[in-house]
Amino acid sequence: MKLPLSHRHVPLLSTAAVCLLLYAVCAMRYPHFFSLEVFLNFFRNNAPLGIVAVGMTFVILSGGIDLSVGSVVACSGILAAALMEKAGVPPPVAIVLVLAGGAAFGLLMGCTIRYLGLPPFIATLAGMFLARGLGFMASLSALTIRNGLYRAASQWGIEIGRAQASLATLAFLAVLAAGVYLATWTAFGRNVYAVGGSEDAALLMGVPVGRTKLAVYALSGLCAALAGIVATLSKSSGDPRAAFGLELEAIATVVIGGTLLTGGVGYVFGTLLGFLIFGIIDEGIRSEGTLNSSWTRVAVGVLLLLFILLQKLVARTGLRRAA
Amino acid sequence: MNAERRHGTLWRRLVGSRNLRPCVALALLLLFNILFTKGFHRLEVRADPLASVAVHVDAMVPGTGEWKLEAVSPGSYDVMVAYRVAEEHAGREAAVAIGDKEFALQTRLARSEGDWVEQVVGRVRIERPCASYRVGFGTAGPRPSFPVHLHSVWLVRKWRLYGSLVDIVRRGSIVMLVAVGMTLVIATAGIDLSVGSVMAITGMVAAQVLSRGGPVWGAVLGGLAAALVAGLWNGALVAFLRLQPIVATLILLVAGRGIAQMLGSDQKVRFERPGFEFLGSGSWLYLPFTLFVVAFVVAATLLVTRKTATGLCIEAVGSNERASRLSGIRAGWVKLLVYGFSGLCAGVAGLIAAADIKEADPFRCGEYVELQAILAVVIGGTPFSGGRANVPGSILGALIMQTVRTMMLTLGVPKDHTLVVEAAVVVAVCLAQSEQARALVLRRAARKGAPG
Amino acid sequence: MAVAQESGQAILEMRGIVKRFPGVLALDGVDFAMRRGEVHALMGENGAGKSTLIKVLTGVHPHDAGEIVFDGARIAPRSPLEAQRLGISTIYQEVNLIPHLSVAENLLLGRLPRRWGRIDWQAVHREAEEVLAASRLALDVRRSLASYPVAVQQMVAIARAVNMSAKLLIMDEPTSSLDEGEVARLFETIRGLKGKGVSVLFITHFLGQAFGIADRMTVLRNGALVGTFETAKLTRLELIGHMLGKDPEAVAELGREKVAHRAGVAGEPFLEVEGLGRRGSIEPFDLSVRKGEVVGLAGLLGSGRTEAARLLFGAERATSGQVRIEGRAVSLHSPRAAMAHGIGYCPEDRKSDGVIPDLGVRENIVLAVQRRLAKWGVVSRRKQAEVAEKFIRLLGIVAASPEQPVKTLSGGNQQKVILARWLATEPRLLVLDEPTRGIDVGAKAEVERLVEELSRQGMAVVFISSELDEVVRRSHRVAVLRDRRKVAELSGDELDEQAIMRTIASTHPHER
Repeated sequence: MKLPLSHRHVPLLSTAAVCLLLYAVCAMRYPHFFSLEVFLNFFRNNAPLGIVAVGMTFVILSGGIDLSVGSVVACSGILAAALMEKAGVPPPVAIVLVLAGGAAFGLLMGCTIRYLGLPPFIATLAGMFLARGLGFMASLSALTIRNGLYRAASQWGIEIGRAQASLATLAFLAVLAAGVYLATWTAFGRNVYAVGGSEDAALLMGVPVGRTKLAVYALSGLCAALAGIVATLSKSSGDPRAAFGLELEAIATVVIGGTLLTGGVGYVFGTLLGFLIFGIIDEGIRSEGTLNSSWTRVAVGVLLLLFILLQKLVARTGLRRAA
Repeated sequence: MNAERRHGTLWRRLVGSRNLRPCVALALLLLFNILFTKGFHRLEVRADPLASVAVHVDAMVPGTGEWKLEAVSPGSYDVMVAYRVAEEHAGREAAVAIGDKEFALQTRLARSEGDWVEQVVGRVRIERPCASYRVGFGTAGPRPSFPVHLHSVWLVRKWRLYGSLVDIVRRGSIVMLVAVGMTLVIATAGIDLSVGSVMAITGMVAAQVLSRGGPVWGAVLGGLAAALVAGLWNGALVAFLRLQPIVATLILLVAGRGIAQMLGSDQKVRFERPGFEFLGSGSWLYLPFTLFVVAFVVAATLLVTRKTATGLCIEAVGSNERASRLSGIRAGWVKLLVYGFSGLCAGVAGLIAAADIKEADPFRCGEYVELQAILAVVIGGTPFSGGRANVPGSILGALIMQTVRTMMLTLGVPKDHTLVVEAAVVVAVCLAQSEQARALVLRRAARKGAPG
Repeated sequence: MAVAQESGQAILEMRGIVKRFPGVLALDGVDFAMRRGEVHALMGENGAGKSTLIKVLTGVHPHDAGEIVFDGARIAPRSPLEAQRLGISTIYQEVNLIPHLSVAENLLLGRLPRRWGRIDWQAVHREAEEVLAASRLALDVRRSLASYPVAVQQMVAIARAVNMSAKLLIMDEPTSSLDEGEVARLFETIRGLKGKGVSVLFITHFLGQAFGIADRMTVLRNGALVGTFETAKLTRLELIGHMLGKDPEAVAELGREKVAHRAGVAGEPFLEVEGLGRRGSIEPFDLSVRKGEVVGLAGLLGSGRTEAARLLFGAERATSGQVRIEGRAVSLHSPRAAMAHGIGYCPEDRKSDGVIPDLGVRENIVLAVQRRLAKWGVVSRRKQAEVAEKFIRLLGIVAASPEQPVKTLSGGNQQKVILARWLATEPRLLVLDEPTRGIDVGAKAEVERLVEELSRQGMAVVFISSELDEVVRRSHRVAVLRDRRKVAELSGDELDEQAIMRTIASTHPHER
């Protein structure tokens, strides 16, 4: 069966190529790169980013943007910690409450976008402020979680050789799998692509545009809340000051992963590749020793620019071919 | 119509009749602020005035911490200390000194973990305006020392009109400056998200020049040059590569802080140069110097936008780019100009921010400033769709937001909680301006009015 | 002129449709009917009301008066989606599908087959292939829609509509981006639809195509119905006459109206254009305009008049030819360059190309002339106000104050503002593209008089209008365009409306 390669796959393929290239370069320079341990460590430390990026993928696919995720991550973390420590709520209940809250928050933003016509940028900007403020209302400073069950969970993991796949890593992988399933095998996923591809056309084709938009933001809120909880797992504390700038890292991850910022094109798998690229750059810079962490930001910025330019190029050639 | 005529031509020319409502709102807010809240002048303990984090002064061991207090106006103040002490040390005595007066502080335990204790220790009389006083805090004395987390030392006084206004202006200067640049960018139907990062870069460049012994004017020029380059970079991406403004400025937003970090070798860079520090914390004629900087920038901007062809070109490009091009306007250069200008404004703001805290902080400098500037512009009435640049409106918007923030602070709301109120204000203003929302409300009203 | 129809066969009847927009009556009691299984062409120039009629039928706008009866039932669709469910589907010029999704998904979106809650992709591809087969298309349903040319995308859109049991298919300018072979294939598809009993409403400005495929034609003009005609009994000349509002016999009887100064203008040409053209836009043409001369460009919609005008102004770059101004070769590569040579351009679509909606009247007027008013970069408000006042008075612009935002003005006044903008630049050559569209009769006369005055003062004018009588009255010479090419130039005695219409209508040997 011939693989149907169209120009829309180009961004994804180039991401994969960059990923492999970077990995090869780093692996040759630093022998320890080949180990599973490095991988799993990176997954564990950055699982929140990965989870948020999956949710963000859906938002961007639908043609929107969600700037509030970083604040929701922090708010969820501190809220969970406050519920468990200050109010004595048992962990499972606290987690469920926080997850529901995250989804509801996303739904609220979606409502202002859908019913009140606020541009997504503004609505989620306000959401960013709001969530951050709510987090501070729960507590002005970080709260340690002393719950025994929680601490045990944070240490738990599946042993693979010398490495350990922690709960955070598993959560991320589960969310990733769920994301891929949603995008490919559910009507909701196809509707998201349709809305992002052309909202007017989608409306005319009978796609429930309004409902899809609401769902997308609720999903993003849910992912952010989940990421917040996962973050508390690894640090055993909630911090209202956490995750500053996480939304931008998530957007960068999604864009580098081959998803067009204009919507309608992209794959959740691509986000995984973008996440890996992040990790490779980060780890590579750390291993280099002479470069400090600021290089990561610059590298991400440069990569982001290159990928956006590539997207523009692809879009233009695509148009020319169709004409 | 009559009201406008009564206000006179000068007022109308300067502010514009469309800014009447924000002016009134601001006046009311200030009045409320003065009458019902306490005016205060706060001494920051090595804290970034823009950040919501207070730097903890850990474990004050024997000796004194000394800082300089610059009171703006003479008068008598209550001295208040915000601190936190561990359970086992609660009840022990610490000492606060201002100038040559000393007060005793009987420490107590906070109500819950993570909260600060605010305590008034005595009164002090400030004689000279804009003078420097040494402030000390110590835990030594007859008993062995113990660790105290100090948040800040406040000079509090009620009913101070002059102080409140000055305070608002000084704190709001940075947002006002950035908002001016942002107004022009938004008038071209664009946006600039990178202003915070540009501030960080500017501050770092200036700090590096100063810490290596360079002249003050060198630091200023160097910083501004860096800011201009950053702005032109954004402009080139938008105008010539035709990237969406959100996307184009996002790149600098991400990479800019990295650049600032690199310039400072991943650290904050401190400097001591009174000439430069004057930018941030100096005073002229009992008014903060930053006010003059803001006034200068605003006047220059108004001159260019109202008196030259440029202003019209900017608004035309934002309102209908195609028609502007067909009228001979070089839309590409116009966009380059406004983004460069926005970068420059952010640069000035960055210099002030660095001067104020005497260090360049690449991590937290300009945090949230782009959002606050956008908020100011939105309140000021410049629509996102472009076509109208209301610079005085943005200044008013920034002042309104700063007054609200200050009010909340003096009412006792912790700085970090004010974000919720700001979010509410953004949403309220956008809703008021959004046609869809209005339609919804009107439809509801009509349905209620119509007989069943 | 109207043809009676057997009501038993009617699929659609629109009676007395009225639609008003602020300031303009878009549809004035239009009657329109279609039979089952017929191909019906809807014709008319810009502003005739074609698109408004379609929008009313498909539910984009509600109509103010009249009724619509579809398939025996009264309908009043409130959205295109509702119209679709009733059986009225529309294929737009810009194909309204999702380009990045696969062909299969585009065909079946909204009704993707599922198995145990998840999408059954194998079933999707199978069903899609069946749908295509029914329309006699053979495509790889897995490929993205955008990887196929527009012509094929249109076929997919049609296949989708048919699959959704459309009874009436509306095609809005479907052939604009198609080449001859693709047009032929489209027509084959349409004939296939006829065979299945689907009615097709075909909107086009290509006369040849309308004659080629339509059973009947309906002509609209200025929001009113001119008539519905059987294609077999209609000639091209008659059709053009209907579209332009000229009764051909009546025109032939009218005396040849000449204006005294039509004797021609002497002198060296101000602007000479040789072989100026742009690939894909307009074929190379020659034109020369003398000082004080009015050269008209006449032709139907889509003949290339605006494209020619834009080339003259540098709004688009020519791919061939050269331009000479007062004998010297120049390059008109941008509007600024053209303005530097004293050329002004009043665009056809004032809403998208002319008016700066948020700025005031004064600001719109002085927009193009600011730099000249400025001393050391500073533009005096007083001077601006003077210029604005002058033209407000001259053109009779009705506005509460010079600061009033132009978007609140009526269409006619907006047009005057744009005219004022260019007059203020004191151009040596002014290109006017449909300057009298949407202006009331009194203002139209004013504009015409203005053109005459300007040409008498020595300004060269290129005058484009769909109103043939205007063009004939005001121009010294008229260049006639058809199908993106200049086909003739008329002047002196031979210049009259009949001649222009005949030139436009003149057929090629293989056309009807």
